[in-house]
Amino acid sequence: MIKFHVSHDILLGYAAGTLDEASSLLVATHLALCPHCRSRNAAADSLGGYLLESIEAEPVSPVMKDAVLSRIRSAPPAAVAMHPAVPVTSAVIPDPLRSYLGHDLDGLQWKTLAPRVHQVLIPTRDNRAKARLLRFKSGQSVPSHGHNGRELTLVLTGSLCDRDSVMYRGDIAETDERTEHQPFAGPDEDCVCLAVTDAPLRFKGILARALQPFFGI
Amino acid sequence: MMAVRHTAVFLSDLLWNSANDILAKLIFKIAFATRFQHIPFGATRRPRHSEDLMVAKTPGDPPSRAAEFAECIALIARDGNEAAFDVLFRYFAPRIKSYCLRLGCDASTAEEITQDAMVAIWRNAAQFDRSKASPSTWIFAIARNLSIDRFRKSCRPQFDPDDPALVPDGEVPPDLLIERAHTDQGLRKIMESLSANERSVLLLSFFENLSHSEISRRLDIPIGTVKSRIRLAFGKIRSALDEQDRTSSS
Repeated sequence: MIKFHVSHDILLGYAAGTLDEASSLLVATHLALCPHCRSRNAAADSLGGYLLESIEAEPVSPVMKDAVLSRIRSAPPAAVAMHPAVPVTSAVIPDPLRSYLGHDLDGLQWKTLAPRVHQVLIPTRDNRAKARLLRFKSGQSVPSHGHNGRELTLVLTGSLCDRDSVMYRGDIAETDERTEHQPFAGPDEDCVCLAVTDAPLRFKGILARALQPFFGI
Repeated sequence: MMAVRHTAVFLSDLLWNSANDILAKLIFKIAFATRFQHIPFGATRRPRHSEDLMVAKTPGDPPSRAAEFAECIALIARDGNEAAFDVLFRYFAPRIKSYCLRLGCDASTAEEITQDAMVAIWRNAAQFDRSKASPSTWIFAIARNLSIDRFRKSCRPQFDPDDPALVPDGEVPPDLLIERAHTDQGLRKIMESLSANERSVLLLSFFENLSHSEISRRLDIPIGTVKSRIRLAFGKIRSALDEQDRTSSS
């Protein structure tokens, strides 16, 4: 069962539509794995609905009604959305992340980031934050580092040990400027996680710092 | 699903809710019976002050027109009923425009997004499921997604409820599905119970598109206070919904 959920702040930003695309991707992927947060998300959406009702009305242009009517008369209401022609029957990586990657876990082109650490960069339309899929060999740790901004990590396979917690599939770790940590993959299997950062990491070690520009993390 | 629910509930909310529950149900029944022959919305508005960040709604406002709007959407889906669409247009178009303006859109972009949102309501009426969301929540989502695309030049990825990797909700009892249609009613009560401070951070976050640090500057309060107010307000909203689920499943 998922123990580490998306925080209120971030969920509220997702519902309001103010959260950047990369973080929204992480939230939406967590929602696919977490019925509890789907219920919280529905509550946050209801809040938007309530506020829309409460907001003061602003008169629209007198011609808008006719413009809308002429558009809807030329297009009847659509039937319920169609499903893809070839339905996917099983997957490790849930949507929307799978669609962003273009493949499930077994079809990805991994690039080496450091020994025993691989990544796949995930392009997004807005560049307020960066999303990447990371794969750590079991037992492998990341060099100790701090953050210039916020980092969100969603575990997808295996486990990730960070500070005093062990996180499994669906769990989210959230760190900020004040955090310095050295997460490492659990012993049993490779850990694949989605990581979203809104600023470059701050590595402590000289070697890691020197190599940072080459790997763009 | 109930097993994974967060169970912390503010005691004051509980007391407040139970006291108001019977009254709210009664209001809803009367409103339903009279098909929401309500007072025009504008008649109850307070003037808007630049520093008044509260919702314009007052406790004396008419009950939600959710049932009426849901019926309109169903009529559009069933036979393209333009009279039903007119009801939605008159109520929602000016509010969607107002929402866009608060986000910072210029007037013509706000008009464009509003027009597209109204067309989307028409086209997607068959997808509306009143057991999952109230009409205003569904329409808010349409307006939000259009504004993200057009104005914010970004995307908002969403989960796919039919995805094979999705972890399902588990068995949801049918009576719970019916109760969820009235989620906005419970929320309404909670919003009215929030303090002015809690409501102001929620509104700034939602409708003025401000970050925590911007809200902190605007209200001249520390960022930690902004975060804790959002947490408190959001916790109350969630508790109310959890409480509603528990009530309807017991």
